[in-house]
Amino acid sequence: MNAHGALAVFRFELRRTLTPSRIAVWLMLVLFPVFIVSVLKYYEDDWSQRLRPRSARRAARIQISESTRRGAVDERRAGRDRVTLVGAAAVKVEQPKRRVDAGARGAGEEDRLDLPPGLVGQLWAAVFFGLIPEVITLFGLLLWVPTLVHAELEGRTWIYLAVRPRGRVSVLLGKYLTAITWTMLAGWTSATVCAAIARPDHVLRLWATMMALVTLASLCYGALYALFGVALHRRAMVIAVGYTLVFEFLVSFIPAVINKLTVQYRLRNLLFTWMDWWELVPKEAGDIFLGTEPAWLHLLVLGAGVVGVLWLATQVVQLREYATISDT
Amino acid sequence: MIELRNVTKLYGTVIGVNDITLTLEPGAYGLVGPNGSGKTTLLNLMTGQLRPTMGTVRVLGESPWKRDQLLRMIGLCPSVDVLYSNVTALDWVQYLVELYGFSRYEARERAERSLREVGMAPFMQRPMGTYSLGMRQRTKLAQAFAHDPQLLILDEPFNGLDPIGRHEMTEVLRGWIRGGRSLILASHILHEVEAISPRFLLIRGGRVLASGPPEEIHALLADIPNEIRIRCDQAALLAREFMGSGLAESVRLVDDGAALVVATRSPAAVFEQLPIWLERLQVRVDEVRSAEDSLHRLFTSLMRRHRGELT
Repeated sequence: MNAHGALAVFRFELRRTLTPSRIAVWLMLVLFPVFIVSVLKYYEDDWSQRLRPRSARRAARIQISESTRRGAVDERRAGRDRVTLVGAAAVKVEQPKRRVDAGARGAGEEDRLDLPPGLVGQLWAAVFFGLIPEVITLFGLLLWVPTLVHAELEGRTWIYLAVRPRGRVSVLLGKYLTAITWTMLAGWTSATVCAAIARPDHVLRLWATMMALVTLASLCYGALYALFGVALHRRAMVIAVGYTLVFEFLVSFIPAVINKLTVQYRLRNLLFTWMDWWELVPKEAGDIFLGTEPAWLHLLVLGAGVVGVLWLATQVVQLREYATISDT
Repeated sequence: MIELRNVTKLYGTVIGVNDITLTLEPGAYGLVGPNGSGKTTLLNLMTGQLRPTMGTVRVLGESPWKRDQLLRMIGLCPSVDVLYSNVTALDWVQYLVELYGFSRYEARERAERSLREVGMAPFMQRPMGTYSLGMRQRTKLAQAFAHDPQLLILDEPFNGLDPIGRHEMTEVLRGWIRGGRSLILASHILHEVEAISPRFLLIRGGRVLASGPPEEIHALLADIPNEIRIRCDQAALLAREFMGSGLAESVRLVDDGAALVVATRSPAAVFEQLPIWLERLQVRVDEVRSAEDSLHRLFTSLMRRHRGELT
């Protein structure tokens, strides 16, 4: 590992990429979730009202007893628990539904249920997770990591770096650090602003979770895209997009061992653990989509994965012959 | 210093270099060949950027492939231009020197010193996007020797330089050679190399066709007829004069008799005699030019010799 060289590349790249166009792209990344969250916040009263009958109907449809979720749970409580699926995340209505006194409501409102406390907060968290550690992080990394070698080859600067001792590894690690720094800063800024705008329940906990997930997603996806960038540099962007769509967004939901190989599976689990949502998920759904491993194991797997993938990328970048010029 | 044994490099089915065997002792060498002849491939093999498909390459006693310590002893000035438009020369050279393991402070000092040596001191704080091609060439040269390598490899270092810039660059490189260090200079222009390097390697089609001092190269050139094309109002009359003088190997009329092409082994004598004939015959000349440059003819001739078409 050439830390000195990697840091030199990191410093140089950070300064070099501080251009108006890069800052504009970065701002767009930051502002995209902020815009969505602002719109949702503006109409929060409307959509939270509409959730009531919908949640009631859905709760009735997919009512799952708590006894089947975790095994030995109190029978009386099991009958009261209900689950609502919101996007990728299974979010359970926390409280038993209280039937509204028909006499106190107007005609036609007998079937309506009160909006369960905490549901809006969970929806905000799901929106944050979908927008920030997923959309922002993946877009940022897709823009800046897969092209790390190809950009130097296109710019005809690769040869200047490659003839330095450990120059190729320094470029790989330095540009990886630069890309994840830009991306993490975008994710962190966006999470902070979004949290300030939405101010959902347990806002600090949600903010801290998003910061951690952005960091993990940047490190993991950055390493994967860096590997694509050095191994398949001509089509790295396309391959990275294809991998993300197929492997991370489809395969990660397949209830088989293969979904444990995805980053998405680990991040989902950590989201539920750190937001303390396990009580809200039926056991079957939890086991299939989120797994049963503890958080430390997920962190260990992700950390080892980053190190392993980056090591593989350093081996590839040193062994590959990159055509630097058309002159033969 | 450099030893290549039966080195062949293939890019798929395209031959980069073809069965090259040569040994270079420490010193200065000019690698001369037209564009696409294999010069850059050969230099990339020497700097460990490419691995030979067949054969072995050894530089300073080691295989350059994946030898980081060896790279510390080599400085490379590639032919490709630098395109960091918003970075100053000083920052760029410092950055590249840092990659050799020098501290930021020492890398800065070395970068400043090498940029001063190539005459870039007044401009080194300006973004490279504002540089002329000549200034970028000098910056490229500075990054190649800022870490004090033993062997300097330059690929087309004179591209884009004006006459003054060429002279200054030549002086810098002569100083480098006088310091007892080694140099390989690749170019497609013979006289550029001739001004610096006492020995040549002529390369074309991925093969080293000839090597030796300039005198030997000139001896080869002397054997090759030089073609001169003259466009004038009385081409047939002038052609008759050439045939009678014995200066021409052959004369042919082209462009419906509007021009003649003279093949001669004594171009200097032709250019001395031509004005005399023109005045005497009252011929008006519109254009005189060499149909082929001498290096191209040399390579064509060497290739034919290599294929056994010439003895």
